[in-house]
Amino acid sequence: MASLDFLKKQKVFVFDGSMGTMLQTIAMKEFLCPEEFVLINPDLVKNIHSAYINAGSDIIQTNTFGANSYRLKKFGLSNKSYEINSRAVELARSCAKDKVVAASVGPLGDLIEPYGNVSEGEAFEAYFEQAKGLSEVDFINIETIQSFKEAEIIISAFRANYKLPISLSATFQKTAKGYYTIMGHSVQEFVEKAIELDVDIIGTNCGEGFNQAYDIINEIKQLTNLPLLAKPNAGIPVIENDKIIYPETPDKILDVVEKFLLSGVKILGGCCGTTPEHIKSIKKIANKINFS
Amino acid sequence: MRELLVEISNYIISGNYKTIGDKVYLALDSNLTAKEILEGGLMKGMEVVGERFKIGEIFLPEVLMSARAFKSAMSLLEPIFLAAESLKQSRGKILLGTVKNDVHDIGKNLVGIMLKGNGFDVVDIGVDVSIEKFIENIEKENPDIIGLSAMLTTTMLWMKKTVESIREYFPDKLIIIGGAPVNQKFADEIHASGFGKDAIDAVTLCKRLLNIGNNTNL
Repeated sequence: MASLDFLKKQKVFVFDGSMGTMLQTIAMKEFLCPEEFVLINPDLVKNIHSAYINAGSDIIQTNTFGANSYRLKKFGLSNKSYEINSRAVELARSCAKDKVVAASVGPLGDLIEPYGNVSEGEAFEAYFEQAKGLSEVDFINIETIQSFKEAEIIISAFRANYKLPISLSATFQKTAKGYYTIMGHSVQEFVEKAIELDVDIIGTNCGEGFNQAYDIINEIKQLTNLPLLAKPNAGIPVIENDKIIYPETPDKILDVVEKFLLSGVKILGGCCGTTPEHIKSIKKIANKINFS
Repeated sequence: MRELLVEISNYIISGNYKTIGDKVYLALDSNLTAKEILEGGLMKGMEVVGERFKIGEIFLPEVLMSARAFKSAMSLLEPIFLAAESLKQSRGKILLGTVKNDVHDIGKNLVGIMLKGNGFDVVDIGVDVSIEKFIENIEKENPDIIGLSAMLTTTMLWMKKTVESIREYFPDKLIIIGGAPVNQKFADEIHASGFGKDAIDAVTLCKRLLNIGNNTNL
């Protein structure tokens, strides 16, 4: 496919929910790198992909959020970047069949110069290597972006490899002055940067839940005509009886999902704490809109 | 000489990590003591950075730059303090670690630098720290406060277990928590002594817990 032509086929698209939260819950027992599961327990990764497809995802993404050599190094896997990324694409493709596959690409996990010791060139190398393994997806979903510098490096590293469509998704926090990324970028600055970087889709992910993401998307919408993507968290987790509970449960998000999809968001899924049940909720509303 | 300390403080505020070392050498050559440079220059600067961050005048990037400048200046002063430990007075010792099954450390490292910048001794025992390792190091270091970091929601459970286990061995120790998924409510639930929403807040929290006023001289 390798183009965003698919976006014309439906009014709205359902993305998948969290991969990380589901894997980490299992990895709690023994300490493992979430991305390494594509090598050591591919069936588990496939089961999660399939669960999302069965729940109604039109798009799923690869288990590669932290599959850059800096994050992998923390698990002694820095030389496995290509292997993990390319295997992750194979697994997602084998479950997706005719559905769309996006590549999940997250922050480096270490601070880039001048804030930290990683040079821009080293960061570029890490993403260039990751990009090589992700060549067979339909688009690149760069997510949880906090720093524009990092976004620039990631995008240039991918474009140095190939010209796949790029979605850029930032994470914002609510402050007294409005929504800002941790690195101090406002929503408006983010939109301007995304336009400057000539991305194909713009959005927000993670954060503090569907309601906040809805506010952020509406701000973005005032400033650009780019297709909009949202993958919010299921709220801020609390612990009850030694279990992690996300307050925005699948039944509680129905109203905000409807507002979301009617307000012009093109692609809606979930981030931390969302499950196939959340995706079923989104699918229910998406079907109403797509088939009305 | 006063001007030199003001300059050093300004280098901290503007995050001038590349040349702050020259100024520190100059200050040492001008017979300022390491203690005077730390307190009158570095810590003064860090205090301003903290205040500006709190009122939203600056954001994390500026704080990171200041932290880096502080770190490079401290790398020159630390050998002097090590040679004569008695020269340096500490506001308290803080032991920091990211809990088991979590390897995130950007936030924890920044908390460490901000605490150092405010006159605390910091012992950082790293990431993926097991309960046993916490207990062992608390015994060895006898810190005034233990700071736990977690980035993943799944490792919040380890935070709870770690707090419970530390309390079993050291019932009176102050334990504070921080990290993306945690908040004050969670800190209350797991009976932590406090929660810091960011590195600046962590400093305020440690000062409050150890009854250190903002204007107290060391």
